[in-house]
Amino acid sequence: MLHPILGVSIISSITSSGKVVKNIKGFVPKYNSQGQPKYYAGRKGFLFEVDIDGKQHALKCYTQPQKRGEAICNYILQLSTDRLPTPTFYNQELLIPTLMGVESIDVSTYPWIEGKTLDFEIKRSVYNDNRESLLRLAEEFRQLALDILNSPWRHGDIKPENIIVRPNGKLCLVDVDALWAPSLPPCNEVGTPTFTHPLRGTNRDEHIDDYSIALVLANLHALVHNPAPEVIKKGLLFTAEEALGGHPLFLDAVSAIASNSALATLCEALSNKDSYKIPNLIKLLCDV
Amino acid sequence: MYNAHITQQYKGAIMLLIDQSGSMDEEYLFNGQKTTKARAVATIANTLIEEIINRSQRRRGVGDYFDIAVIGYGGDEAKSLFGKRFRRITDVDSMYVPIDNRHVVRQLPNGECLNFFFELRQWVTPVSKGRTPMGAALRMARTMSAAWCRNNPHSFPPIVINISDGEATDAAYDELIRLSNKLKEVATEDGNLLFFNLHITANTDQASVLKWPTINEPLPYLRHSKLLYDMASVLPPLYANTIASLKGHFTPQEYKAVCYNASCDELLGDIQIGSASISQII
Repeated sequence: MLHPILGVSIISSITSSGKVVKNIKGFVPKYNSQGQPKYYAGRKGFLFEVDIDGKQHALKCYTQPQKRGEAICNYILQLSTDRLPTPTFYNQELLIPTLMGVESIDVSTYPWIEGKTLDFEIKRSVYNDNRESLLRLAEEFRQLALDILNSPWRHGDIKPENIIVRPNGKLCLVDVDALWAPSLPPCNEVGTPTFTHPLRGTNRDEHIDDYSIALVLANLHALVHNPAPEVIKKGLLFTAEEALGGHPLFLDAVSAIASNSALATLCEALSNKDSYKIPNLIKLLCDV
Repeated sequence: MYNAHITQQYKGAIMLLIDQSGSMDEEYLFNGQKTTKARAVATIANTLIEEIINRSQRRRGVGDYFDIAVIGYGGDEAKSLFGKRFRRITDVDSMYVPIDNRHVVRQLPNGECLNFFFELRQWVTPVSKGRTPMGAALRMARTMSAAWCRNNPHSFPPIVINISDGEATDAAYDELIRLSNKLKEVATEDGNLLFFNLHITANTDQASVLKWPTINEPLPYLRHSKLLYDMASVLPPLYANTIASLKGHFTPQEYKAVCYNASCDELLGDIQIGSASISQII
């Protein structure tokens, strides 16, 4: 396959009544109230909500062949963590109509993770002016960050949209396309600019999540002090660009949380234009 | 340059210029079926818009990652189909337009047949009338793109895709080159506007299919193939590695943003890959 597959072809395949998957058993797509399949687009492909053998799953359909995707799935299967979904990779699994024939594309499946995204929960808490809930989210995020930093892998694209708040409050990461571990093949993922230090670029090392972790945590603690309604539209109080540029939104946030010395140090790191790495991050998180 | 990420804060812009002149009434072999050029062009445009919407779909619905504009040119005028400005992709998604339900049957190697159904919304309908005011379309494209860039100075620059058989009637070769150069001068801080030309002809000979030619590559022997080649942008380096591998070149070269008789899948596929920015979404 030379060209990435179009979403319209994948959607047509998913909604086909024929046997479009080779090995996955009992595959049934889920539909919304308008009769459209439930799906979301991502960087590497499309994610569909499906039932497999009667249990809800996410089905990720890749628009290009995925050697790295397969390696990531196999890597996660070796880990014992509840912070990442447990994937199964299927090579050349889904049949897609092309101009004159049929092609098969790679897919992976994940058990569906119940809950809402952290992004949604932040906005809901801000809307309801629920500071207690924001504090709880900040603490859960801190625990998640410590688990990540004490692991041999890094997520590579930490942002509230990529974190699910489970019904028991624990956080779980989704969208593992940018996952880094020493044994994984390299990639050119650069993270989401709003949450990433520009110097990170395509660097791949154990520090790639440092800046995003500090940014989300500082935002959450600042929101506890000031659940500003602008967050409902913007998603957070201040971005990486605003932190690095010394924007008033960031400076206000710093002054609100500076009484906590660990948070104050994190904020200093957020405004450091010279490095995406934050020394002693684990200790700082323990001290927050 | 060309490394701005497309986000809801820093949106992308895609503009389609659709040839709707009388020559688009000619028969054309498209996706293995006989149709008219006008129908083929409408399908390409609608598929592209639908694909951009699909790629902007998030958990809570379509996100405003792109602004879209469509300019049809035929008869005596160039006309913006979505109004005077670019429209948000969410506005385009919520437009009430007819749906073309297509049924495609594909046979597997074991003889089994699979039925696929496509729901393709018809923002662009097939039109073929009168003359080909491509010059007017280029002027309108420049005005609208420049306004967009003023409002979005930090964004990835607009991508303009002209789908035509190249037979302009309101301007001579030199004037069309001058107008396309003016269009390509439009820029954001991230780079100049990228002008793609998709040339479709009634010639269905395999020799007439060519994508992303280099400066030394012989063009297909088609009417107006040189005009569309000369008008198109040189693809920036971020595309070059991928196109080099698609074309089997050891080292990337300078490729022009022009395709002759390429399919929609190929065009869409190629312009998304190789770009860290575009591939975030498209």
